Amino acid sequence: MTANNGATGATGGTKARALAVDDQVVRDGESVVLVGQRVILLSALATTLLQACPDWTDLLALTEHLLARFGPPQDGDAVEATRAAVHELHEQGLVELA
Amino acid sequence: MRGDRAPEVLARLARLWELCPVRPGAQPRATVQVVFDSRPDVVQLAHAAGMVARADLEDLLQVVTQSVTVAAIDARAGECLMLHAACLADPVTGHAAAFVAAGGTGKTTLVRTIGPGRWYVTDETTVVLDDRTVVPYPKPLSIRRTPDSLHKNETAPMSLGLRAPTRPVRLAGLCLLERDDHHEGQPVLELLGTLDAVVSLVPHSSHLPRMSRPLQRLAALCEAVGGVHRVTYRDAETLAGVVDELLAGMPRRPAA
Repeated sequence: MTANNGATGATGGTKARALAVDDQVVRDGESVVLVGQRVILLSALATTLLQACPDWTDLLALTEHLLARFGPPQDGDAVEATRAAVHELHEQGLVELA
Repeated sequence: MRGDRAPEVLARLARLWELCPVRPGAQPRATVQVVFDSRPDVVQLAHAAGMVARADLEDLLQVVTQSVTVAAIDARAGECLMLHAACLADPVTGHAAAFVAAGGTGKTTLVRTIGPGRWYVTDETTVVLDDRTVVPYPKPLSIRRTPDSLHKNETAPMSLGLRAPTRPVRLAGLCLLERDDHHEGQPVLELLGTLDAVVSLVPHSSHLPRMSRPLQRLAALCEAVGGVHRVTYRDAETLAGVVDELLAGMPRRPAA
């Protein structure tokens, strides 16, 4: 399966780049990060996503990365699932978007 | 220490803080200004100026303990892990076990109940260095005047049969105390994964973001002591076995 299989919409040109965190601990694929005074527990998928965009990375490339690691999502399409995950990280202050 | 009744405070402090003697040559790193005076206006002015000042001696002593603790914690910000935890140690092995809990949820009761016969390290703030050495802080115990009272009486540790460590102690066990009034029977232990332990401990730490690599240090500590256990219990006296197991570095789930 490729990133755009099942995609129903355009990627919107979204790119993401991980923002610096103050500290991070990774265990068994999951992680906990410190951002300022906040401590955030991240799932394996979120951890992988964060690690996959040290530089500006296209949403399609991120989707491919997640598909290779976790396989296709059970519901919905892969691009939209990745987009949603990226936006969650953005809301947490962990990635910036362009 | 100022005020015309300051000698009364000093006399009480000497006994209350007898397990925290000043080391020879030690330089003060934090200062708490205390005023105890028979004149209400002097007390009010001192209080308004941010000093520790109360009209009642017992109230004053309680606030002195709190203020000294906060000042000491602030003075060491960024230097070492400081957990809101009671800590007891084994006088034979020097192994220490820390019991993390929010204020008013059982730390002092645990120390009063289980502490005699063991070393009393602290009932409030467990300071852990990178090599797991615990810096003792055997402060006075703040004991509620009545079960539901907001006011507490400062109590000298030795009057409760507590003794301070006489040589270095090292953290061997770490757990989160969960007192549950509806819990029945023996305490129940649950081993937390490292990440869950870190997330659970962070709210009970002081000045953690001021340290370098704070989460990594906390995770390393959790793993070095064999993981963090969440202990659900009702009565402190049922924790004796858990304390012994933690001090031995091998906690296990009690038999049902």
